[in-house]
Parts: sequence; structure tokens; C-alpha cells
Amino acid sequence: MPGESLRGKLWNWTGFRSREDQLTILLSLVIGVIVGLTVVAFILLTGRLAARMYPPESAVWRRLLIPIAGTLVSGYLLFKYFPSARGSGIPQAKFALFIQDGFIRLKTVIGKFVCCSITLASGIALGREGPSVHIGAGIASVLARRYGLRKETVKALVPVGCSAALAAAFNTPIAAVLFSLEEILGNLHAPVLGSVVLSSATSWMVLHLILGDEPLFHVPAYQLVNPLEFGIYAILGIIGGLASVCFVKLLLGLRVWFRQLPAWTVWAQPMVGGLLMGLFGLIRPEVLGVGYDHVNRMLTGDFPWKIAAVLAVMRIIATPVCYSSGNAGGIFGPSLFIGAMVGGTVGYGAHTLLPHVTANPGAYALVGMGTAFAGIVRTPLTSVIMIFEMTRDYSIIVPLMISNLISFFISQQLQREPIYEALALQEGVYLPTGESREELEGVRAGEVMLTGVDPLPLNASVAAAKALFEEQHCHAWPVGQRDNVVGMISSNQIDAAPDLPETIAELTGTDRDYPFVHSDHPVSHALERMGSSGVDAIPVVSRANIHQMFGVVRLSDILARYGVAGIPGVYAK
Amino acid sequence: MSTANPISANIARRRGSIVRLSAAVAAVIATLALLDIFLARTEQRELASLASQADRNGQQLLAGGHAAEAVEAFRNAHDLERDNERYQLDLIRALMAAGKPAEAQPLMTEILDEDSNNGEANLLAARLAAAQGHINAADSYYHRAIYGEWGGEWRGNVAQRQIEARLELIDFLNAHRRQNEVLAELLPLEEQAGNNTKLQSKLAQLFLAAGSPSRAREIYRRLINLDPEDGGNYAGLGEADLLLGDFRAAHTAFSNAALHSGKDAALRGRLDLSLQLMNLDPTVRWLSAQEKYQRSRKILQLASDALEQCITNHPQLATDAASQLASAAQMAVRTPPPKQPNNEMAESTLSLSQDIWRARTSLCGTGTAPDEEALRLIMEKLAK
Repeated sequence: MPGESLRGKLWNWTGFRSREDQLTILLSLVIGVIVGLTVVAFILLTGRLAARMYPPESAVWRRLLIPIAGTLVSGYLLFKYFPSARGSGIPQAKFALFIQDGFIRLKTVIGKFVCCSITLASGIALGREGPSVHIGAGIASVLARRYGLRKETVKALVPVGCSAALAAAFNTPIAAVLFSLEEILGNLHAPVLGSVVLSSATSWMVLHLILGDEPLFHVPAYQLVNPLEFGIYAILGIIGGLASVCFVKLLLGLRVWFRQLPAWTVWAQPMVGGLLMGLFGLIRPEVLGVGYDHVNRMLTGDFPWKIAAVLAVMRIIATPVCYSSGNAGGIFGPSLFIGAMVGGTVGYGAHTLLPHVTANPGAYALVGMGTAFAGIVRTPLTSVIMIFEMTRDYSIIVPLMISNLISFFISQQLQREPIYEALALQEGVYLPTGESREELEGVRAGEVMLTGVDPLPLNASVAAAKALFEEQHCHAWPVGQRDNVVGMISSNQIDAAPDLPETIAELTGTDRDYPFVHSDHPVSHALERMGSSGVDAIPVVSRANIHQMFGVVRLSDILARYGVAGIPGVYAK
Repeated sequence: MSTANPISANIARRRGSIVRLSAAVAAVIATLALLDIFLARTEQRELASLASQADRNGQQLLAGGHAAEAVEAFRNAHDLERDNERYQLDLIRALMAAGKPAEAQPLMTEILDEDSNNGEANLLAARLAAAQGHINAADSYYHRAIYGEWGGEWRGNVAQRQIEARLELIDFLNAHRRQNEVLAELLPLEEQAGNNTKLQSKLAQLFLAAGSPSRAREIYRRLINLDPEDGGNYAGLGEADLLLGDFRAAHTAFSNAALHSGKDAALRGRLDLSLQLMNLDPTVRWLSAQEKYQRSRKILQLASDALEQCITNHPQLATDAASQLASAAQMAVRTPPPKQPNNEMAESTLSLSQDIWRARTSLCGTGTAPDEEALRLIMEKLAK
């Protein structure tokens, strides 16, 4: 084939292209095994280290100093060697998937493992599940690249790694599959479903081979005592939803604040989280660490409600501070912890007031876990299945669904953007929202865009702009320098100007309000943007940086793609 | 050809690198697996050690009567080593001791769901059900415990545990006055007892308590044959003979008991009682009509006093019929005895005594006062 590269020839000759699906399946198994083993090691290591760092009834100084020392060490490592390993890992996995073609460095995986182990072992109130997902995605990415797979395949294997990680971290293979599809991919009918299921099941089997058949939480068999309880579960949904909104808003607000601090403080910022944990640890040692032991006790109804209420408040403050200050760790675990404590407290109140029509407070703690998860992470389907799988208790599923939906609705009303998308936005990254991802079907803007074109320089003359419109058969064009777009200029703007300026800079704005699309947007979306902005060409920009232009999509290109270009009477030049 | 060679070389290189990569992946998997196994075992060891320590602590606290603190310690042990049934059972035991049977119930259900045939768990479940007042459920769990499997530390001592469980069931049934069921449990226990004299002695006592003195007498006789020097067995035999109405044999047995064990106050009391009964018994053969009548009047006097006492103590219970009976009894007692009484007179007096006793028992029960015991035993014999 003329013009085919040597790599392409190799690819075809060896038959790898035809075998790529088989290789993907095989690699899904391998990813399942390696991610499962890595996550198990991560869980065991953090657990054992934590037991040594601040054993039960340890000295007071330990509770104060260990979190500070841990965050100091991990903060330095994150600053100096592993800057990409900060935070939860879920947004990072999504960045890799949607922006970096599935690329995650091995160094990031190692950094995440090491820094999270130190952070979690020192009692910081963050979770291990988010980092596990990042580690899983990273392992999948590294393996796929090392095996020389195409970018599309590397990208497809990222959710496979995520699913394997979550299956091992939470011991919930079905919820892991759902989470990968619902949150990571945003598409429950994704074509990688088979690989995702395979890796999840493999990873789960590895977990069971090593740690045995123990659920993460042990829950007595609860049931609905009286239909009146539905009302109490609804109240729990409202309280859980409000608590979730507080949590998310505090986390996002604090993160903005920390990001405004001078750059030289970045290495020390995690210590703020450590200091707060140390102080909280002095008041209530139970606040330290992942806290699943206390969740377990709350689920059996054997946890003092006053302590539960205090811990819920402490965690709603501590986790956002720890996360926002740049520590490595997730928010899944803390969500469950907060939910269990809030639920347990509500349950205790209900049981005290109406002892004959309510179940044990443990039942409310169980529902509360799902409520907080649905409110914070905003994956209601995953949260129901996850709680069901974690506890293996079917009897409470209907109250769980009611509470989850109420919490989800309240969270959605009071905090428009889901937490991971809001976090990405703070980074200046436009991750596709759930709604927009549903639209990502059919012909994409990237397929019809005109490449190899530059924006019109800001110092270009109006005449040059008109000439370009003529040359490109359109009435608008991006403005900027090289591939850095800063605004748009259109013939309407030129025509509307009372006096023609020398350069187009005076006619065009340079803010983020100019219309654009991303390459994975469907052309229908591009048409919608064109219509609302009154232009017939818009830039196609990067999700990571909306000023980085990949090309321009014109109305005529879209029409041509559908075979209506050049038809008499139809707009096309 | 000019392009084929580099392609072939590249393919070979690529295949080589894939093989090397796969080997590296295999090595990584093996290393991670070893690391995981090491970490898992370390964790298991540490948790087992902590759990064992917590359990020991709990045992000490429980033995010291600090049930609430013991619950915490056992809960800790159970949380640390979930699959250790021993800690879960200890926790259940402590929760019951702390008066929290409702909290123990889910733990119990969990164990029995996993192994419904677990003897020890069923025994605990029976105690739990008994503590919660679920009599039939407790009865059922006791039976499952008796016929269940006893593993772990009980493996070599299953028969003993079964016997203990059955004895506990008998105590439970006795406490709930289910005498027929007690007897049904005692019969298989008698078979199991074999040459275990201690158990046989216990069995004989239980037969006595369950109202089967004849079986008790048989066992005591066997025991005396085995050990003629044991005064306790003679005393037991005496009690059985008393209940069977053989007061002379009872007196002999108590005398033998005193001979072998020494005369303590209790035994002296039993000797006196048996002697009193021997002198009171109107059913003895070859008794003259005079003597029989005198004895029947003494019995009437005792019965009349008992009814009088009952009415005095519980006037609200007194019925017209009972009051009339009491008056009739007092009149009969006050009436001077005839010079030549016959058997019919004695029988008539005894019949009145029985009517009075029946009235007495229907109003105030049989009574447990020691001074009424002789009357009760006589009446029981007359009723036969």
C-alpha cells in the first residue's frame, strides 16, 4: 500500500490488527491479575502500617505527630517526585481516558502507591479506593503501551484497570463494572463491557484467593419493621443529601483556597491536613485512618450515637481539608464512613423515639452509607449495587434506593456539577458531563474538522480577515496565535462595526465565551454551537486546554460529510 | 527484498521484545503474589495474636463478673478474627451475661446459618432462647445441641458434652414444670450413664424430683451394691422409699445412712420423719382396729390443723365448702373416741381427712412446710 508506514506494515504483516481483540481479552485477564495483586498489597500494606503507626490506645503524642510527619513526608515526595499522584485518582483516570489517550506513566503508578501508603498509614482521613482506581488504570495503560497496542486500545483498557482495582478494593465486582461504565466511561453500553467484566472478575478472584471470602462489612440481616420506616429513610436521604452537599462544597471551596497559595508552599500544604487530623485525633482517636472498623461496629448498631455524630462532623471537615491540601487519597471510603455515622445517628434518634416501628440503628447506618455515596460521588446505581455487594444484604435494598435517590436529587439541585467534574474544571479541564457523554454518538467533530490551519493573528487586518473568509468558504474564523485560540471574528462583527479598525483585535473578545467544540463532540453539538453563536465555523479545542486548537469545523464540512454539499439551493460554497 | 529484510528483522525484534515483556509480566505477577501472601500471613498472624489476647482478656473479665467490659473485649476479638467461631460464641456468652440477649441473637443466627448442626452453638442458642422466654425454641435448640456435632476442643469428649447438655435441658424443664418431658429425657440419660456412679446418683435425684421414686430406688439399690459404704446412697434410697410410702424401709435406709455418714441435723430430721410416718401410717397390715382408728384421728387432726392454718393465712381464698369442712373436722376431732372403734370408723375418719386435705391443697397447694411433710406423704400413700 503506497504511503503506509513501516509500523503499519509490521502491524498488518504480523496479523496483530486482526488479533487485537483477542489480545485485549488476554490483556484484560492479565490486568485483572496484576491490578488485583497490587491492590491487595496496597490494602494489606496500608492496614499493617497503620496498625503499627497508631495502634489502638496508643500514646497521645503518636496521634498528634504521626499524621503530621506522614503528610510531611508524602507532601515532599508528591512535590518533588510524583506531582501527578496527588488527590483521589478518579479524576486523574478520567483525564487520562478523555484527554491523554489513556496515557498514565509508570512513575505515577509507583508514586500513587508509595505516597498513598504513607498518607493512609499515618491516619489521614482519606480512602484507598480512589487511588486504587488510579493505580489500576495506570497499570492497564502501562501494560497496553508496552505491548505496543494502538492508542484506541490503550484508551479502552483504562476502564478495564479501573474496574479491576475497584473490584479488589471494595470486594464488589459488579459495582466495579457499573462504576467503570457509569462514572469513568459515562456509558452503560460501552463496547469494552466484556473486558471490564473479565478484569473485574479476575481481580475479585485474586482477592478471594489471598484474603478469603470475607465481605468488607459484616451486617446483620436487617428488614423493614414497619412501612412508617420509609418516611424515616426519606428523612435520612434528605439529611444525607445535605451532608453530601456540605462535604462537596467545602472540599471544592478549600481546594480553590489552597490553589491560590504561593507555589513554594505546595510541598507543605498536605501538612495542614495532617495537623488537623492530629488535633482531631487527640479529641477522638476513631477519626484517624480509613475507619472501616468503626463502620462495621456502627452497622451492627453497637456504636455510641454521640461519638458517631461527632465523627460524622469531624470527617465532613477533615476529609475536605486533607484532600484539598494536596494529600494523596480518595473520597470513596470517607463517603461511606460519613454516611454510616450520619445514618447511625439518625437511626438512633428514630429508634429512641419510635422503638416499635424502627429497625436497629445499624440498618440506618447501612442505608446512610449508600446515601452519602450517592450524594457525593453521584453514581446512584453504583451506590445501590455497591452497598448490596459489600454487605450481601438484600432485605434493605428498597429503603436504600429511596434514600439514595432523594440524596442524589438534593445533591444535584444544590451542587450542579458532580464532584469529579468540578475538580476537573478547577484544573481547567473540561471533562464530558454525563449528559454530554450521552450525546457523544455518531459523527464526531474531530472526523470532519479542517486540520493544518491556524487562527487568524490578532494583528491581522480586517481585509485579511475578509480574504480568509473568502478562501475558507465561511463567515467566521478563530483568532489567536499559531494554534492558541483566544476568540472568534465573524463577518457579522465586521459589518456591524461603525468604523473599521486597522486590526481585528479591536473587534474580537479574548475570553472563554467564544464558541468551541471538542474533537469527541458529535457534529450535532457543533451545529448547535454554530446556531447559538451565529457563526458557520468554530474551533475544535483540547479538553485540557480550551485555547489549544486542533482544527476548525465548518458548516460546509459537516454538510459535505452528509453528502449535501454542492446541491443547488443548499448552503455550500 | 530491500524492504523485506528490515521488516523481518523488526518483526523478530518485536516478537523478542514481546516474549521478554511477557516474561517480565509473569515475574511481576509472581513477585506480587509472593508479597501478597507474605503480607496476608503477617496480617493473619498479627490479628490472630491480638484476637487471642483480647479473648483471654475477655475471659478474665467475665470470670471476674465484669460482663460489660468482657463484651467489649470479646467483640474486639471477634472483629479481629471473624472466622473464629470460638470468639463469636464467647461474645454471645458475654452478651447474655451482660443481659443483652437481643444483641446476641443476630450473632447466634449467623453461626447457626453457617452450621445448624453445631452442638455448642445450639446449646448457647438454647440458653439464649431460654433467657428470652422462648420455651419451645429453647427445648428445640437443646435437642439439637444433644444430637448435634461437637467439634473443636470437645471433639474427644462428645458424650460428656451431650450428657451435660441433656442435664441442662432437664434442669430447664424442671424449672418450667414440664415433668413428663423431664422423664422422657431421663430415660435415655440412664442408658448413657453406664458405670458412671456420679451420674447415676444425679439421675436418681432427678428421678425423685420428677416423681419417679421407683426408678430412683432401683438406681440407689444398684449404687449401694456397687458401694455399700456410701451413706448418701442410703439417704437417697430412704427418700425414694418415703415417696413410695414404704416408711419402714425408709427408716432403715436413713439409719444405714447415719451409720455410714454420721448423723447430721438433716439426716436426723429424716429419721424422725420416717419414724413419725411409721407410727402414723394407718395402712400397715395386722394393725388392730383400735390402733388404726387412733392413727386415723391423728391424721384427721393434722389435716384439720393444716386447713385451719390455710384459711387463717388466706381468708380471701376460703370457700363455703372449705369452711364447712373445717367445722366438720373440728367437730370430729372434738368428739370423744368410741370405746370400741371398728375399721369402718377408721376408714370414715380417713375419708374425711382426705376430703379436708383435698380442700387444703386446692386452696393453698400442697405446702412445703416441714411439719406438713408427714401429712403430705401419708395422704399421698392413702391416695394410692
